Amino acid sequence: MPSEPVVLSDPRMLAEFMRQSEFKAFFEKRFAVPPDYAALLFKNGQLIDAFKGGHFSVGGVVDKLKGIFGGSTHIGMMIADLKPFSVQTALKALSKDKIEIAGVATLELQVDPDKPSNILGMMHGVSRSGGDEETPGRKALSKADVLDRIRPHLSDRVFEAAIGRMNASEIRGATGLQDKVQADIMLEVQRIVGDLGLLVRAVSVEWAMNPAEIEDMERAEADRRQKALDHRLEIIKREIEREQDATEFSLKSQVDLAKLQNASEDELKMMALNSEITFLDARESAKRRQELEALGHEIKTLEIERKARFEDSLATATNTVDLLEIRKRQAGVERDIALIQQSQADQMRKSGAFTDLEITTAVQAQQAEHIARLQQIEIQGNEAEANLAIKLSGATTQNEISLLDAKARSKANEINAFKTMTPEQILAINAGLSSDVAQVLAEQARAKGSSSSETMQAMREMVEAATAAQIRSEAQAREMFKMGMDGAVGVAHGAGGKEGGAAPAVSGNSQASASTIECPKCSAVNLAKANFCKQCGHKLRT
Amino acid sequence: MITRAKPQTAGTYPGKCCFRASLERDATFCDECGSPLQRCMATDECGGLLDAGGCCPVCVAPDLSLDAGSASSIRAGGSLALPLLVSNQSPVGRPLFVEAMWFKGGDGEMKKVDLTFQRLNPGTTSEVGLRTGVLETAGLHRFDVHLVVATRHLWREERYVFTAAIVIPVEPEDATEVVQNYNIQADAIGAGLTIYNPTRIQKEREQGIAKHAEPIRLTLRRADALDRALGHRGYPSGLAVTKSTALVWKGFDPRHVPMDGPIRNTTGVLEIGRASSAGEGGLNDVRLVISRNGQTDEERSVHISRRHFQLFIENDRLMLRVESQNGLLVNDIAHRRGKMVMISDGDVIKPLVREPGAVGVRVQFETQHDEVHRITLQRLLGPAGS
Repeated sequence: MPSEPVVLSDPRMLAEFMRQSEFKAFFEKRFAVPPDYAALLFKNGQLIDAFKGGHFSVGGVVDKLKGIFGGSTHIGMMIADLKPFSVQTALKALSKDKIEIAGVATLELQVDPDKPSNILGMMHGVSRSGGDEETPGRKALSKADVLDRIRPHLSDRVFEAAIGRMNASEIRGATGLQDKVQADIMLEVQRIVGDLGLLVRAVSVEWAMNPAEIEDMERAEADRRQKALDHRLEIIKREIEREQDATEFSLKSQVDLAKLQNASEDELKMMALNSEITFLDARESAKRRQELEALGHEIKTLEIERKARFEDSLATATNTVDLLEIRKRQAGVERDIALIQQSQADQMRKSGAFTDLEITTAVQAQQAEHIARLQQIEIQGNEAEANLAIKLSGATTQNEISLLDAKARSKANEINAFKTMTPEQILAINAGLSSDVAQVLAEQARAKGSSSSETMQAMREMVEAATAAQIRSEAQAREMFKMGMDGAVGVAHGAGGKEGGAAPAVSGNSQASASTIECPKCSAVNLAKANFCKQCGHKLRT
Repeated sequence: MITRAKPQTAGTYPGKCCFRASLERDATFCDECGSPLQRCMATDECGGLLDAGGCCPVCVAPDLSLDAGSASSIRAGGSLALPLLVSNQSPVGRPLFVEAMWFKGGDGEMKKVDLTFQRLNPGTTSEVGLRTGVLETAGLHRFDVHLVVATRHLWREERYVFTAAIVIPVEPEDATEVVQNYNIQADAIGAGLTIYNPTRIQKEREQGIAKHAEPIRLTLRRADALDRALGHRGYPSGLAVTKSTALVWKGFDPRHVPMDGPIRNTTGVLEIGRASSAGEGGLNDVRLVISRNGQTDEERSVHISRRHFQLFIENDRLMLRVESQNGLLVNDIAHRRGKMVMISDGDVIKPLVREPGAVGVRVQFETQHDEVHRITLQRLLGPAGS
């Protein structure tokens, strides 16, 4: 008995139930399910078994008899396609630089061949009655249903999240991004329908052109056009050179041919001077004139075109380096064109098809234009220099700031140095003595004073004496105490102090009257060297 | 981490000559440059002179550092903890009082920091923790820490506001993330396939945020504008009486008052009362009696205490401290002994509470910009026999 193949009613279907009416027959019926299909058998509403392909035999007389004796049995079957299938969904997201990215994601899905019965979970609530009369009310799951189920979970969680991390220009060809999208979708699908028997095998995204890429493309196209123009220029240059190389001339002479052939170069020159021979261009003047004029026109067109392109590049240049590069190229091209024009003028002269006046006028016009362009280039150069100057002055300011910083640091160091000193030492240092001297004085003061105020008082006196005696080194200070403070002046000199620094010893009473002065305003007694009265601030010297 | 150091404007005062001149206790002017010597109120202990900003650098030497190990850079969207160390670096054993601390973040709002300490003995250090808010934008963020410190001597106190800036670079969020794929055999999750588990490794994060191994010393600068804005120095109107403000005595017997000019004695406090003045060999700076035409009204003057009140300049304000047992009146408001009163322009000090009209001292300010450059103190006498 031949088997009746059981297949899905439509290739877009993923799984569907067979109606019981299809199984009903008087005779036994055999059905064959291909091996790439899963067949789920239900009996009286219970899932009996699931198979990967197989043959089933239902109905027939035996079944009928069984039905008569043992009551009727309801048989149901669901078939599901186990082959991987692909679905596509459009995606749209914003890149990191806020450019809209569009694309199509292709998902390779498959019903889990190990647990095909789980697909029942996705059938829930899906029923189609459609226009297909053969399968009225048939329960089915289409591939599109699967996509509808998972699509909402992907848009933000996967696409926006992945694409939002990259700039639009970096997205194309980024396999890392593709991997990430694939992995995230796998995780999501596993989370949503993993236990419903659906697997993701692979995911790929095709990107539509985004505005950043279109911009790049246009730029590349512009570059290509630029190169083509350069190429044409080169060809024209060569043509002119060829023209120069290939200019033919003939000699017209009344002289004997043999004489002419034997003549040396100098003799030929002499003949030319004496008009014994004349040079004749082999070409016709009119033709050459036309050709040269056409060439001139072409050069001019090319120049204008190139100038416009340079202006365009200058306007769109994004940084100074680009700018300088463009200007350099521009200058190079200007030079080329000037050379071409010069050769053209030479050609014109050589051809003899133009009058001198015409040539001069043409050359002057060309030169005037050329100078104007050169000036423009120079102005642009000046602008670039000005920019550089601004940057340089910025650097100078930075330098000044760091100088100020350094000063502040040295001040801080000075304050730090005070930390380890005693008040006596600070007193001495503030009064202008060196730290070595300060230390010696502090030792002596501590030795003399019993309380801190006494020490300070002793210190004051010593500092005063040491300042007056111009004590500058530790040795001098120690010597001063050895000899007694009164003799300090001599000590300073004896221990290597500078000459001429003789100052009166303040503690010497005998000298006091000679070295003091009375303030005319408040009568306070001041040192003779004082500029101001220490009591009232009155100016003592003019 | 960048600490921004700005040197204080170095004035000529006090120069080395001034320190040398100040060694003589009685000197009130520098005999070399002629500057009035402004001694610290605690000059007996520190021997220091006030700097141009009215601060004694020997007594007031606070130090602020950012503790070792604190983060010094951050990514946008994060917030930083700033552990600070406050220490007293005074070399002469003077304690410092931290009165307040303010923290100003990028939003420009000043937040008061809760302090758990006030007194800082010399050489000691205390810790304060600050937090920046969430730093949303990349770039350099500047935070200001304002420190209000006070130095005290007897009943007197001088307050100063110092400020330090902390500049923190905030990196943009967009770290170049390295996407590393781990292959996991997915049998474990029952999928029967190999799946990829993308794990992002942010290298910088793993390496940790940049830290520094030693405390960073922050440069503290005097913030004179904040002194006034926060009400620690000067008058509410913005005026300031500095130590160099000249006092001009009018209506007094010339022998009873010091010469016009800044307060020049070592302590910076003028003693005013009935007892003889320094000019007459007494201890008072100003002798205040009720007298007419050189004749002292002894009967009425006896009610003025031998030392009735003191005048001094504290926190850029002219202050009065009542010494008399009987108290006195300032603008007809009675103040008892020991009370300190801020004297403003136009105030009248009336020493005799029971007979206010008998004698008084009117105070008048002459200002230049926001600084009082002269204060006139005029003795007012009531009608004879009243």
